[in-house]
Amino acid sequence: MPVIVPGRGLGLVVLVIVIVAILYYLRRAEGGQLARIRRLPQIDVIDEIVARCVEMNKELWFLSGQGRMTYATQLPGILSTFGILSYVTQRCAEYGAKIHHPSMLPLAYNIQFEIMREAYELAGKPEDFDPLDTILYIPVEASRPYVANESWRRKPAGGILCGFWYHYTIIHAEALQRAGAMTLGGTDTTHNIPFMVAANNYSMIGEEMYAMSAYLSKDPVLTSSLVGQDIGKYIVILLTIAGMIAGAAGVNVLSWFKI
Amino acid sequence: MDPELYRMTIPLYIVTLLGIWMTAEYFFPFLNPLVPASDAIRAYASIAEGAAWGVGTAILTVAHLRRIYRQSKDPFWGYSVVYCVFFFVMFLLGIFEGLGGANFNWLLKWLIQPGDMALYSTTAFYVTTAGYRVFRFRNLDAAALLISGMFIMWSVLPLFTGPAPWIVPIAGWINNVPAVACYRGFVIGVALGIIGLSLRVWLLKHREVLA
Repeated sequence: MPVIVPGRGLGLVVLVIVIVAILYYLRRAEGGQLARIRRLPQIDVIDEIVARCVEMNKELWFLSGQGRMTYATQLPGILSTFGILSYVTQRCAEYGAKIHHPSMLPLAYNIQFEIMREAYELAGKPEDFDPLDTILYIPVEASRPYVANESWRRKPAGGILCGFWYHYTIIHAEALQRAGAMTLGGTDTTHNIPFMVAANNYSMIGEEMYAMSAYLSKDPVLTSSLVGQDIGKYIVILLTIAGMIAGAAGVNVLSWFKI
Repeated sequence: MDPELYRMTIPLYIVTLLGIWMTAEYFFPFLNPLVPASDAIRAYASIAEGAAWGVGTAILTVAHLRRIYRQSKDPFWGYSVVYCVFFFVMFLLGIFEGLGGANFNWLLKWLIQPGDMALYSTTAFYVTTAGYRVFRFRNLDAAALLISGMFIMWSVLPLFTGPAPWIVPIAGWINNVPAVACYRGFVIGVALGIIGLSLRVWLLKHREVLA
């Protein structure tokens, strides 16, 4: 019996390298050497949206998508919204812009509530946090008419959509656009990226959302994880190039991955 | 006992242990004898999720009952009555008739499913009209999407493929070459993100996963 399932050896090697890289950078971060992450242009967009809301004296809407926290493939997108939500809320609190967050995530609602409350406290304005309006839970089915109707009525000046999204992305993004909001949208759901790109003024694609969350939260764990993932990405790029050369040279590369 | 221990620490240790087990089982064939046990664990995961739904529903119902009780403080308490009526009707029918019960199925078939379908169908129309209103040459990315999307749509409409058959190979190329390449790159990035998240959970450094 082989030690490793045939065809999965390379995957195991990459997995081990990524894990070791993350652990290494995590140890460094815990020692005070936080890895540097490039400032993403979307962060300036967030500031611009908050500034617009302040100037126009209108609300900023934060929509964190749907998805299930019990699914491993949907969890990274949902968790990445927490860091962004914290930053946006704190900015809004500091500059006096009102933020409204209809959350469609029943499991994450409590976490998001605490994130927003803490952000207001950190900004020194806990009295501005309205537990009945700053954040409220809306079931997914009800979210579509709610966002379409309420955004038209309340006319927010800015909107930020991020997290895990299904087909209703376009409904929410369009409703905010129609209400005159300037929007930033990002998701790691492959089939909804086109909607995010087309329907919003600015967009984040997949990993940019993870990176933004790590950058904004300055969390050593998130940052180290991101750097480790980047090393995994370099390995994948090298393997892709090597595979192309080997394939062009007549080597049957696919046989290496045959299970 | 410290509540933190059984609410957070022990569940996170269980998650870590099972995560390592499942990963090892994927790569190492000598762990094959453990497959039946792994299947049983996966089944227990579904049961635990079902139990969580039950707890959530109970909490939601209590919240609505409380809202009805304090009706003078909430102008929308009437919606809670609607929720409670439907919840208790379905709950009692489910308990006494079971999932195959005639009345339970009647409500499901003629009330809940048509309501769901009606809402979903309006969503479909809304998505289409919203797409029409929003898809503009807003920026370079949106323009690239719009042009490629137009080619893909034209390639399946005889109205366009008849007079201009050259659209079909262009759409095929867009579908098979740049779209697949970008999709794979994107999926690899997300997969690496999932590896990073899993490791953070295993190391007990991402407690939010337990909500």
